[in-house]
Amino acid sequence: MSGRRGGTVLRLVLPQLARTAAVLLLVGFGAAFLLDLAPGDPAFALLGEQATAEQIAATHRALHLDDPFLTRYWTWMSGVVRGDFGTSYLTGEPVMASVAARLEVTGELVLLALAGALAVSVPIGVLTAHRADGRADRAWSLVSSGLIATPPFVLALFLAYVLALKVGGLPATGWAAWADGPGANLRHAALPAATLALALVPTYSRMLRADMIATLQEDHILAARSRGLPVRRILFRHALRPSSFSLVTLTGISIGQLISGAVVVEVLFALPGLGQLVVTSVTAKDVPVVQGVVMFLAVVYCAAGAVTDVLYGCLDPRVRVRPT
Amino acid sequence: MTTGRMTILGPPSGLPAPLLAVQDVSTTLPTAAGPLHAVDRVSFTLAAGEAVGVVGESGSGKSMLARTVMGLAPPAARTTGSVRFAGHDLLTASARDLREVLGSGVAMVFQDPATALNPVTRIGRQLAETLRLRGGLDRRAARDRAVELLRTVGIPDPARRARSYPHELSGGMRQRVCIALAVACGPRVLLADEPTTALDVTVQRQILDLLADLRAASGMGMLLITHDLAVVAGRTERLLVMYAGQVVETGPTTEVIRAARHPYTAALLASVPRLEQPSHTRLATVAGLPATAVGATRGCRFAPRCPRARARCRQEDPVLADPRARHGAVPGRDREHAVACFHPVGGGGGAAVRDTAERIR
Repeated sequence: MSGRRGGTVLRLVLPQLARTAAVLLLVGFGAAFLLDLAPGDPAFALLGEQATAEQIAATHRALHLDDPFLTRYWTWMSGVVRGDFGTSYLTGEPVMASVAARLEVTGELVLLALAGALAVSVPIGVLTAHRADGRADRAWSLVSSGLIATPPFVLALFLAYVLALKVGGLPATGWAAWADGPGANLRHAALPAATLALALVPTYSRMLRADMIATLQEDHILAARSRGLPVRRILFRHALRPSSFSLVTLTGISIGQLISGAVVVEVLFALPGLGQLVVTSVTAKDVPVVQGVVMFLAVVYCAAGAVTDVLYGCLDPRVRVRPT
Repeated sequence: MTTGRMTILGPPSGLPAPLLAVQDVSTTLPTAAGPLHAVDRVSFTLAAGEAVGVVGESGSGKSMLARTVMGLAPPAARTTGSVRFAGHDLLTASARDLREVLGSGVAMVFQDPATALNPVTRIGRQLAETLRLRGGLDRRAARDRAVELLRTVGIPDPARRARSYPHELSGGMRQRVCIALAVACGPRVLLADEPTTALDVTVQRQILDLLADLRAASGMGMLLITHDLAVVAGRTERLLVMYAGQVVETGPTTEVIRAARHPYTAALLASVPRLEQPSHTRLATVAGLPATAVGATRGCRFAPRCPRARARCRQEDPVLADPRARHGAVPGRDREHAVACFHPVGGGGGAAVRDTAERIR
């Protein structure tokens, strides 16, 4: 029995892995190709404007910049397959190490933003659906329309102005690592994470509200009420789970968007995250770093998709794939 | 319009006091065309151990009557009248009082077991939840009792089945689970809203038998709502026939079927297929479309479809009355045969229903 089940898991997982590999290959090629088309020379970024022709030629040789594009791509790709993402032209650091160092910041921001957005959106979505067209529902519809219409950088500046300058207590810029103490770390992460989260809350809460309203019309909700179960239990235990499909899908998609959104927020709040790394690397044409980050994002996208698929099964036993 | 359709004079001596007393209950829903009188001045009582049938076409207000009685009419609905149960009026009770009554006092079985169960929770957990929150059992006791209940409603291998999701069960099994959920906290009144409509004919009988057994064992009163006269024949003591939200005929089931007086009841009886008819006989139908009462109405609501309608039927509202009294002079008593018609039919014609009821039994 266990052998058969193992085979089934393999049958389910292998195509998924093959698809992921194909996506990564394409994304890596695309990123390298686009950067190759872009004007500029990394040697200038390294040596400065006053570099002599010999110095530049020497750098080109050292970095294999004169090789044909496909040769460079092949060298890079064969390194990736062995787990070697190369070294930065600019700093000489291994790409993996600099991505990992920056990931700590961006990863924390993204996770905090997601958790915060869900923690706010789920109760709002459930309660506005429970009293649809009530006063709170209409008020929230107004507020969320306003939030959707506000660009993130405006929101960021507004939050920084109010919470950091007027109210005080939160730093407007800069970063403190977790190692410097959780308090300092969270205080520095609060404003950028809130900026990211506030952009998600309106869509999250309204998507959940719409699905909840449909679920609350269903017979099994009426049946639960007819058994005298408490309203809160019916809302959060009986109605929320079958209503959360769209929200889960949206959350999966927004992980990728959040990392991209982090670029703006990290620049605004001067945070040493992936976003800043990408901006400086693209400007300097530091190809290995850009490719490393792009590959990492592609992996995150694919993983988020896979996790979403698994979550569907957890939410609803009817969509679970079973051995046949 | 000034008086109620039926005056309850209290139970005749010798009969137990009613568990549930529904009096002059109306449910009005706002629609684009005007207020819809989904339930219109309905009165009846239900005693312990008694089974009362409610029959009518789709849209006659049967399900809305059940929801109203449970105090679960849609938020937009306006309800009047009273539903007395255990010292409460369920129509005006606070949400808290109502919750105390629902499940443990009055419970309900729904039409479609495919949608009446939470699709994402194992059935054992659904039962245990109700037992824990409403029956006051602890986690472990609730789990054991859930299995026991599944056995009571005839689920084979209940301990294993408790771990099934609703979609893994057949329709009949699901309805058994729904019934187990409804009776989990020992209600004294069970409202069964078309409990067999979504099921195979072969399973219908088993479910009706199960409901009858549970009623006999616990002495609960049961309201059996159906569009199928054959379902209530022989399984209920009394009958309410509903049309466009109103009770048009009521009385002991055998008498209503044997000697139907309302032209609508007679038409329903005539539309039941009969065994002795040759195959491919065209089935008798009730001519015209079922009516719904929107806005202010005048006269008998069945008049547009009624072959016996006269001018008076379109002018005046008929009230429920003893059919033997001329022109509705004597208000009918709850337990006696009463009909709301100025020109009742002579009675008789229930043979088809008796045949069909025999087959279902």
